[in-house]
Amino acid sequence: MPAPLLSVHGLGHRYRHHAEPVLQDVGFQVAAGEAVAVVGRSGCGKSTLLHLLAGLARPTAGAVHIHGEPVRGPSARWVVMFQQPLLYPWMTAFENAALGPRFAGRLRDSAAAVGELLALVKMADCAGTNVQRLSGGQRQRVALARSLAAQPEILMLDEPFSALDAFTRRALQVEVRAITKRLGITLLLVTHDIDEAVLMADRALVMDARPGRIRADLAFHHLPDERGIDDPAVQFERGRLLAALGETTEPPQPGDFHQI
Amino acid sequence: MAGVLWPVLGCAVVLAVWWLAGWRIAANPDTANFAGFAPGPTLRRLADLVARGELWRSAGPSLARVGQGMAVAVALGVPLGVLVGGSKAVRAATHIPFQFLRMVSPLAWMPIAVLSFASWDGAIVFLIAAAAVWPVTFATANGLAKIDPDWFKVARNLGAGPVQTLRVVVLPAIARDVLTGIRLALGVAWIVLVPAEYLGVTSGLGYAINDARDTLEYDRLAAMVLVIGTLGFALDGLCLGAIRRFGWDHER
Repeated sequence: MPAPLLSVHGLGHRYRHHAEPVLQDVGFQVAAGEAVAVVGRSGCGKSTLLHLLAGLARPTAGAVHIHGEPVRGPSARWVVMFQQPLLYPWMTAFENAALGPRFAGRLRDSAAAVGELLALVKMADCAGTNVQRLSGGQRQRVALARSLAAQPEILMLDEPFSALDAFTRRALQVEVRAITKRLGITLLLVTHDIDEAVLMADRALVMDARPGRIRADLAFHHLPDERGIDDPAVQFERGRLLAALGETTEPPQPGDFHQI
Repeated sequence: MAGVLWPVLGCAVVLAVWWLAGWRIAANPDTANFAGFAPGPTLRRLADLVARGELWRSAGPSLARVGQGMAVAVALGVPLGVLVGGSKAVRAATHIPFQFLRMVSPLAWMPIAVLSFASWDGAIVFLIAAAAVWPVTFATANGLAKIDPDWFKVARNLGAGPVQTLRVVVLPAIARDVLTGIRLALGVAWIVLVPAEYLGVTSGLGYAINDARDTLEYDRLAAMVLVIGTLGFALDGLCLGAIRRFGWDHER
């Protein structure tokens, strides 16, 4: 088995010294190119977990390693996409998308690549538009282009589509999976949306709340790369995930989905 | 049409009151010496001042002093404001001294300024800067404190260093607040200018007013008041234009 891209050992976090831990003894590994969803109810600490993985916060116990090296802070090699697009409102779509290359001092060489990424997320026509004129979905597309333009190895998503309308959300879920698979980017997704997890991930980590810890590690063996929410196989994995979350009493048995 | 009507009406009312007051002053034998304050003599004298270039000889040095004082105020106020707005410790440490200094009229420093500076010009520039630095500092600090913390998170997340964050995120984000502070400061500076120029200098609008009083040329005095108001209005308009140009939250 190849060395994991990301590995987490005994990770724990408290906001104050004597407070109840938000996360306790979290451990898992992610291989390069994998798409992993961390699923749990609101307040189970999954967003905190993502911040720790990205180095945007420091854990109070345990460690995160990427390529075998401990994560000590944020880096353009792993980029987080947040629930809100958080674009800079005085900039155009292109200027926002080009921030990663600009900070890395290679804007001149990357201008064409940024343009291509804007086209990939279907925002080429709005490249020169001030982002305040864009809709919520368009802004999140620009934020996606901005994340990809930094050329990360890992794209970390923190409920990135939950503020969007259902139609835009579904389109972006499918597109982000396709794009990251094509570019070979490892996807780490935090969500409370079970549909989002089964549509986007190869594997789901189910989290308990208070303290947050991993309750189950579910691989979606039966799912094809291109999938729709109505596929029987997707519905089957959705049922398994629901059961793991404790939402139903009876977990579906292998073979169940053939009968649907 | 209505956009022009009301401003014109407002100015017409002021002009009418001015004319009426001038007429009453001229009609009263006790005050007839001051008839120069009326609109007619004032505007005739203003045209004369413009034609003979005296206006520019007075306004030029005044504008230069305000420009220098404002430059000092911005050069000190913006970095100071970034420190105050960016650090809780600096804010806590400077709150009382700054509020104290802010409430001291710049003209109260006049004797100290005269003692401290070799030239009258230096003292005037100091007084203007002392008046203008506070609005710039507080507006900058206020702008910095308002920045969405998530904007810093995004920059860190994309690999920005502290200098890049300052240049790419902080300065554009606070541009509007800084310019608003400069606009306020310029208003204060322009007001402080005239009494400051009552000091030893022999040029500038403040000197011209004092001089006109001493020579009993009340039409020239009123013309200078008109110039001070008009130039101040124009400077404020320039600031407003800059705010519109560089303030990004107008796009909404």
